Amino acid sequence: MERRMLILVVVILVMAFMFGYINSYSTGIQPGYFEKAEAPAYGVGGGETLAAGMDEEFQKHLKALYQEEDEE
Amino acid sequence: MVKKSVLLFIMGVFILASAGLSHSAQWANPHLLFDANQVKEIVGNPDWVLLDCRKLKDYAKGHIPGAISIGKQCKKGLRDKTSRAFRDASKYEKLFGKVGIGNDTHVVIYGEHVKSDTMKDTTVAFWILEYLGHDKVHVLNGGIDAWINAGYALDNKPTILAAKTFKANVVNSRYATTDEILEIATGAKKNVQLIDARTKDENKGADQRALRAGYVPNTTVNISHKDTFDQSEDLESGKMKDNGFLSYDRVASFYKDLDLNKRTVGYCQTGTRSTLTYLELRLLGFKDPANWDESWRVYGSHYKDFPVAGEQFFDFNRVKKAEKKIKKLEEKLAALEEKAKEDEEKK
Repeated sequence: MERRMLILVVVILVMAFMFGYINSYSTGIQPGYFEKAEAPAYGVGGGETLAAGMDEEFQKHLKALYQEEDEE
Repeated sequence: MVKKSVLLFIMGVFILASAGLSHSAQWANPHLLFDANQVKEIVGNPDWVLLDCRKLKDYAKGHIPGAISIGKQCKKGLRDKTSRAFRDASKYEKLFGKVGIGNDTHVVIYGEHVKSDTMKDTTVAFWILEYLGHDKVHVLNGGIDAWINAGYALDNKPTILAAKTFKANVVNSRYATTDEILEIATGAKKNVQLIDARTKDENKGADQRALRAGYVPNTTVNISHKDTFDQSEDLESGKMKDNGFLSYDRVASFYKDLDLNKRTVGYCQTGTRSTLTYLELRLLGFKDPANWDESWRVYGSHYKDFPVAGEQFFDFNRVKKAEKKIKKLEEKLAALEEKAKEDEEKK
């Protein structure tokens, strides 16, 4: 009985991994992106929703693009 | 023997003619339009920049590896708050330089059509770069959908490139002014082809988006920009819908009666949709294409001295009726909310 349960768990885990992998492969979206509503703890606040990869350096870079225009 | 030879000759002529036909049915400037495989080849090449013209949040979800974003969708980031291109070219010089586009850089621009309608942003960026005299601009046909359909993966790491020097060499002829359009409308300027890229309803005045509706007198033809895209079945509605891809046969069929050698100007409501017209004119080899940046929003809002064909004034009675309807609906909604509150309290 326990052996059967173990096999079942392994099969479910493998299938879940495969499902996630295929989904990511077909959509091209890689793990790491969370909408603000789903992951408030990631600290994405204000303005446009940014992915986890949109680090501070990139945000500074974007701000600098329009700095002079905003000052006018 | 003779029969066989004749047959072979006819077959040979047929094959050659077919080859000739298929060869001739091509864009005059095919280098302006890239497919996904061509883009794949230039990913990582320092002489090339991929410009993602979609909203920042879409760029963050996933973009073509190595692509840059200007932080806003291009039709906003590259124009002022009234949707008009900056006349001060130095603003573009600074912006493009900062994102890593120099005068020697090839730029491939892409957006997305079906979900976010940002193929327009792609063509706005294309027109602006060509107006600035940059002759190394290309568009990914079908946008990011083409890349995904080809089975290539997306990336969600943002790209920051080293700054470069971008010096504009403005090509004034690519920017049609309202003064020029007035000359065309009054007949003072002839031999210019004017294309209305708005919908048929906007052209006829049924869809009013300014003080006056109608079209510019002496407009040569109305080619709604969406019609020129390839059409495919929409999975939700089952209807045929524009999909953001351009093909020679379809696009050329809309422009077949126009003269390639004449100056040709596209317009719409804000000069946004007509940048697709501009791209199509360039692809087809029109010698002197231009986009009228101010377009109908400026022209149709003038009362005097601006002649309008099929003139209709904005129907304020219709707006008044709509206002009354909304007020009644608001009252009904408030009553329903009140009733729901009472029911809740009784429970």
